[in-house]
Amino acid sequence: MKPVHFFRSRRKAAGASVLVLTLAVIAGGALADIQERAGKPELRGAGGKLEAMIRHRRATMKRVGDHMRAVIAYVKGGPGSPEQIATYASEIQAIADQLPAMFPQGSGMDDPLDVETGAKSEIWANWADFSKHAELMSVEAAKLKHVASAGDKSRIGQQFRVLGRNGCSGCHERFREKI
Amino acid sequence: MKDFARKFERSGIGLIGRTVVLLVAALVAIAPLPSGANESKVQRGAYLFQAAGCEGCHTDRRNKGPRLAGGRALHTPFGIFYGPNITPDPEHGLGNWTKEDFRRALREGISPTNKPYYPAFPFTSFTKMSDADIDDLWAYLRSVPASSQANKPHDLNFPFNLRMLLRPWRGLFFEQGPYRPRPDRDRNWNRGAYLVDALGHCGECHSPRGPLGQVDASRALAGNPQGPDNKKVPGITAEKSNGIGKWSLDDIVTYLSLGMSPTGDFAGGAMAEVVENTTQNLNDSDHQAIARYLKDISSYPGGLAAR
Repeated sequence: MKPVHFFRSRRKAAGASVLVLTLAVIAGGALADIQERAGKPELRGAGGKLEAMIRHRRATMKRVGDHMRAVIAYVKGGPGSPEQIATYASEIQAIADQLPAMFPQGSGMDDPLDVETGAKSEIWANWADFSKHAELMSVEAAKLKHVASAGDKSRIGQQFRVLGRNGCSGCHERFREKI
Repeated sequence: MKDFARKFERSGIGLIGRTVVLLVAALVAIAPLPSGANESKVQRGAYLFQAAGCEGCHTDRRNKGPRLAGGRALHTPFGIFYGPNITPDPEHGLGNWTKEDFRRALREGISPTNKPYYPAFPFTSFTKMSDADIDDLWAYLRSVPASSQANKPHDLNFPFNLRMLLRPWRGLFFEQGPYRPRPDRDRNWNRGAYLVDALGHCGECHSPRGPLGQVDASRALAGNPQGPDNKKVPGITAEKSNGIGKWSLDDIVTYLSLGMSPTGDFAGGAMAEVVENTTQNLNDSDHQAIARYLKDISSYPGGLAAR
């Protein structure tokens, strides 16, 4: 029973990683274009590229949350394996590396867009600080992957806490408005 | 004691010996607290300091200001308040305060120079603290390094800059006195109520306020459409319409200890600060007590106001 479950999860996780990475690459490629044309009215509206980016961004954040939830469930004695945690951590790291590219100028909550977002304009006013948070998230996720590979549950729990505080809340504190 | 006396008689120390022992005991009892006792007061005070979330308003962390030396801005509909220096500096901090001054500030909201405090300083919650806790918190504040950073005057809109208006405000809205445990609830519930309503002063942000800035006790913890920095603050009672109404006890405990909601989202804004400074540092039994209380209060409408 267990190997089957494990195999399925691995496949699911791998598929998801490919999907997110593909989306991230597309997003990265479109970024320059979006930033250049952000001020142009034809880009706005429910079908606009900025709106598409925000939808993608929110879905991506949701994925990070789902992974974090799965990690803490495992630490508390729920299902999962160290290998699976390492896969999640690795995907969170990949997302963190793509994060600044998902926040093109003009995609904040104060911009006139048709999609809701909690991205505060402080992000673009303090871009260097914001990017540093994304870097921190990447570094802490890499550490989580490392301790997960070693298979020590209590260290996974500790590193989870650090990633949550520094990687997630540290950035949300200043740059995210809850919507 | 009888055993003791018998032992002394058997050991032949006799009356003089016993008198000496009693004298020494009496001297120890009236001597100042040995440093060990003060240390444990400071330790308890350090925990209370975290539970009361003092750090947030009294340290200007964003601008890397000295710890507890004040200067942090709190934007409200009435203007900008700046947290004051609460280090033991004699000129700019609490260096010249007595313990009684401190008790009065927390319990009554009155400064040593007899000025009423603005309720931006949550004395309306701290008034519910026990004398013992105020004592221990004071011991802790005496132990932190002094900073000579000068206080910044508040920047308030007219007419709120008129401090004399606080006297009638107090008459209308301030109910003074320590928390009285509800006899119809168990210890855990009452501990939760004390942590939430006295120390944690959660209602200062999570309860709606009236036009004069008074906390609306009839809708305690029901959410505040216009919280600090003009932000919407969610309700935290067990009403299903609130965000956390559907959370389990364990979900609340996880949020308090890790800052993570059941959806895997992590606290942001002012609450990220509260998790950092306060909730994650509380012990598990206090997390449980808070969760127990929050899960219960909506079932007793008006209970908070009546207490």
